[in-house]
Amino acid sequence: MSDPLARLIGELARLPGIGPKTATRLAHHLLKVAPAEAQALASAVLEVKEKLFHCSACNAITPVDPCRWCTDERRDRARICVVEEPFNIEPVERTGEYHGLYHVLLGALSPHRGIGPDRLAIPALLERLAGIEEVIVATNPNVEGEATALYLARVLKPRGLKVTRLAFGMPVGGDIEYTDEVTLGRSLAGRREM
Amino acid sequence: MSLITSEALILDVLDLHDRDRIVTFLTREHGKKKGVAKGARTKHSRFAGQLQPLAKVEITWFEQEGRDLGRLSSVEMVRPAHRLQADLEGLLLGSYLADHLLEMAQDNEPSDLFFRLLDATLEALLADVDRDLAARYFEVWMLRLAGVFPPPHECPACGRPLTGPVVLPPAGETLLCADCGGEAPGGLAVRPETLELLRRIGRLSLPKAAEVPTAPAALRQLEEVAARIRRNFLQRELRSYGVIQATRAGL
Repeated sequence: MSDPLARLIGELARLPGIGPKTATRLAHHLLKVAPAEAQALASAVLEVKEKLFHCSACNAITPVDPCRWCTDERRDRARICVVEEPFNIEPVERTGEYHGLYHVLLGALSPHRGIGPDRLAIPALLERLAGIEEVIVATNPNVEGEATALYLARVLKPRGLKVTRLAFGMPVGGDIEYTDEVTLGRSLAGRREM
Repeated sequence: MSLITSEALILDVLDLHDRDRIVTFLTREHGKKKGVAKGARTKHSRFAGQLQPLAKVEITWFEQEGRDLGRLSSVEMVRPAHRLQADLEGLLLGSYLADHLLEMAQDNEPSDLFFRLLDATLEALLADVDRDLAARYFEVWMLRLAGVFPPPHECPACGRPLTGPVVLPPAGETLLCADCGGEAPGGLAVRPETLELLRRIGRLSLPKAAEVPTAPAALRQLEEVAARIRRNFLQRELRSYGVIQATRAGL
């Protein structure tokens, strides 16, 4: 195997979710494509690194600092929605139901992977709490997201803030018959009066 | 390619690509296994809430010789663990228990004793047994089953029964009587109540061991004893141990 090819495979294999076999397949695909196509990919990668960065306030990915969510004066500045990763912001935005600020933790608490609170952007969150009335914790509904939410609640509640968590439950259009017991149990626990 | 069905305890779930998850699980007969749950990240996945760490499930997977990763076919919940995971301390403890098995259980080798230990510990925790005692019980038994926890009955250096003061040397490889280990700098003087707790853990099931009140000081020292022995065995500490200490310290 020639060195440039081995180097490309090695670099591709470092990407999340890409194993050596997939990296090899991708590398051989890139060998086959027209030079312009490979060039477009390479320049797109470089452009992302040159023109996008984390917002210094909320950690969202942005071409300008602070980001558009942090600078938009029309947004509700009494609420802040905490998410794990920058790409979690768009799904919340798409709901059209939320108009407050965001804060990206850049991960979730995961003891057996060695990720503790010190690896998350929690100090930056604590610095942004002036004027905030409610912190909406929108971490993922898995053990890591739940641990992060519970940790944040323990840290934030003593500061007199309202801390809320996204509801768990059945998907819209779902069917009770086909809902697993854990999800249905969570739905029951989180039921609300009508 | 073979299709295998087994009772399993889920140890870890990791996202893979846009739609899938890698599940690490422990079985009695086949030891620690890894399998891909295709489509598990999608909204209407048949795996949905079944893939919860520490849940006891009946799992069916395809296995191909020479491949590390199997492919999960179905997962049926036997005993969920979400009651343990309803608060931060429970979540941290669950992660700590799983970390032991992720590090110490062998891939593809029968692990009946490890399985029984984790299963019984979870069962007791779900029945609200004292969590601190459960953690110490689990640590000690993990190390005993791995063959590294020294028996608390006689001094391996002189052969005399460990009736008086006992010392754990700095490297944490054995328990010595005070005569044999007393001079070791950095050694840990193990208190009689800690030794009594250690013997109780060796003799009784977790629910039975929990029937007797345990001094917090004995639990703290046993944690230190187990941590030293574990570090000596693994030549490093479990990642979860340090993270949990730091998390508690920050609250």
